[in-house]
Amino acid sequence: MIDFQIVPADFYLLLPEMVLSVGAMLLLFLELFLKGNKTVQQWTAFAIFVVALSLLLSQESSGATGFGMMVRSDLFGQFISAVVLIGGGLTVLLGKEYLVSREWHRGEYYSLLLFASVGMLFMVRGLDLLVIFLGLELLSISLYILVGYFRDRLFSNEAALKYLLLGAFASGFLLYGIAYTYGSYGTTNLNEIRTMGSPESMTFHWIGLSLILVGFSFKVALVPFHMWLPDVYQGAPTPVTGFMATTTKAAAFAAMLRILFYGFPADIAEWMPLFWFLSAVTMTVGNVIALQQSNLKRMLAYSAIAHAGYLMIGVTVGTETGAAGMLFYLLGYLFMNIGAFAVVQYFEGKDETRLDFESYAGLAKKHPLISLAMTLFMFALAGFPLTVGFTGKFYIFTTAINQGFVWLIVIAVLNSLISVYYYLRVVIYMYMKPLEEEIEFSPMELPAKVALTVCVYAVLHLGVLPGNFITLAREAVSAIF
Amino acid sequence: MTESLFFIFATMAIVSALTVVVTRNPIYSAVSLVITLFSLAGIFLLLEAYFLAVVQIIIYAGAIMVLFLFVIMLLNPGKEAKFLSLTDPRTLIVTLLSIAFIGMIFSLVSGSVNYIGEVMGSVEELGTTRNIGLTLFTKYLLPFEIASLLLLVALVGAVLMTKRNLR
Amino acid sequence: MLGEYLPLFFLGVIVFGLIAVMLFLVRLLQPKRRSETDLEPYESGTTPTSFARTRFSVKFFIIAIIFIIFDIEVVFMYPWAVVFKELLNIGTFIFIEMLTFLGILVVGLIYVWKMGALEWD
Repeated sequence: MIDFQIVPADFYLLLPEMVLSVGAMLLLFLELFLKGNKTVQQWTAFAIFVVALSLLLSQESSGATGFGMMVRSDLFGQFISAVVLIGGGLTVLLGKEYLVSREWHRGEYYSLLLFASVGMLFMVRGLDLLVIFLGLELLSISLYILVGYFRDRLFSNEAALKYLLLGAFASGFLLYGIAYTYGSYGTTNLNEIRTMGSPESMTFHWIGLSLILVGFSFKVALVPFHMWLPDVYQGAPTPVTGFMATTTKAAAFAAMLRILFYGFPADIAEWMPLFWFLSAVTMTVGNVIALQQSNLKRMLAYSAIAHAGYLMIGVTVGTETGAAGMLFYLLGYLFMNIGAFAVVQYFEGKDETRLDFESYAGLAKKHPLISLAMTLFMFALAGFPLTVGFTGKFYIFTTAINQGFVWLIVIAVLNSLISVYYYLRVVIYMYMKPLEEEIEFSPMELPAKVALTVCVYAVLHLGVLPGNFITLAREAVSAIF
Repeated sequence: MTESLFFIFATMAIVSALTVVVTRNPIYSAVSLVITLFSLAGIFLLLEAYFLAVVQIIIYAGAIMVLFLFVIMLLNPGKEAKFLSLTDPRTLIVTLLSIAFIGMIFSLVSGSVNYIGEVMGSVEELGTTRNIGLTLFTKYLLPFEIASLLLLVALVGAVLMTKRNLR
Repeated sequence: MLGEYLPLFFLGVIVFGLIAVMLFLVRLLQPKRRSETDLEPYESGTTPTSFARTRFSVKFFIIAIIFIIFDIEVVFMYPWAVVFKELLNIGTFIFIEMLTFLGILVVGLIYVWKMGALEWD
């Protein structure tokens, strides 16, 4: 006989996801029945993110599982889910101004952001490969639509199509890998796989896990699988690019960590040489190509690839401290990258012609505060002290050195030096070149100002006083080891 | 009997799948894909996965192929240009890599053939509609509900991307 | 279990066999003479004015994709209906979960409807 029941605790566990999903549907209705009230839509979406975040943080992180071990509530999931929800909230704040100025403001934008966040939460908190896969698909489909949101623009269409085709291909790999894993273990549940230890078929185990890793490598854009990223980041609406670059990376890395370290702890040492190679190649290729970019959005896209390489060091190390470093860096990366894209979004202008370095010439005189913020974000991305970019990198690099990965860190440090060149180029243009033409920017609206301030504050706070958050990250990763 | 049927369906699937890629008229590709999907449904039947076999025909061979044909007619492409020429060095590289890949997979899997046989034996009765219902609506309840969210997002996306005259 | 499908299999063999035989017979028996008019779509009717393969409107595509999504939804109801009574014995969740599933898709239906995607404008 079937032994199955649902208890209220299951629903309690899923409250953040349920709030987000219901909120997303509510926003669809707002768009349909309360046409065009943009401010209401924006603040509703923001409120839903805040409610979901507070519900998430109020949950006990006891490692309780729900719905027949489909999801797990632990500090690891909470940490990355919080990163996702904060990123979503900031994107909501930044989005309205951008969409209104392009005369294509629709409620579906917020709705899809919420659906994407639901997907990421399932990826991060899911304990079953099927839930992780469905979460990833929910995220991906929402993102395909968001990338092609400006359906009358050729760039946007191109980006969406490329992302859809390659993303679907990657999903195929992932699903095929899950099927093989099921073939060798007879289950897709990470908990059961973990307790089972050795599979029935080692061949299928390796094929399955390799295919799963290929799927995730596509999503975080490790180097042989990074081809889609620059065009997609360039063609997507700028707030969406910021959202994709930060939260998606966090969620995909988190799911990868959970599958690798929680589900298959015995294999970590075996993967090490491969991860070492991927990490080194990814950061080098990202940085070297970023050097040659003249378009700021493209430059940030290649820098996102390089950062995936730095983060990969944490996976290569394969210890708790390495993973903790990744978690902390993902948190910091959220603020510095969304901040940088927020400034790009402000300066690029309504027709999006002002994206090259030349158009940043002399902007510091007219917009001292925003230029200062951009300087801070560029310093943070390059890894200068007193910013979160430094503390995060420092933590990951020292961990790796302690574990004996000296050469990898030599490569990483050299790469950071290369990256200083292109990050500082923006600053040099803003402060040291003469202003070429007078351009009036409409003043930044309050929500965007708030978002930018939050980013600046967080970058500085995490850079100067990282202690609490590093401790939190260390506690969080102990849940998956 | 089962074994020979398996080889018939498998050959059909592989040959028609190759036709999908090789033929230069997109409509022919689509029709070949239908044959591939039908052969796969046959293989599912042999594995006693009756529900999957029926779904394969209703959803894939029926509905999704209609969509494919619509897209082909929507774009109305002519015959595809030949993109692989034998003189191109890339063709050689691609061919060599593909052969190496197939060989690798074959050598990996050929060692586990007996294992596949065991799996095939043990799935008896597993694929009936009743058994799928019993697991889908109890153990896999959450993935089932996430799937509905997925379908909703797909609906929103389809309308948002393709509807003319959105206000 | 698989044996129950044997008649179906033989039906398939007979159907495809008959088709093959008929096609072969037509080849064998047809007159060898072929003219231009023979190959026209309407041999003795209207003359075609343009090429039949024009581009389709995207409106067909929306309808098709909406159809597929609701088609997939209905497929899920099939195993549900089979096990409904059995699972009702251990709790009403079987009813509620399908209600949730449908509820979420009804939101989609309302969206599609209000957006006018079902209208042929």
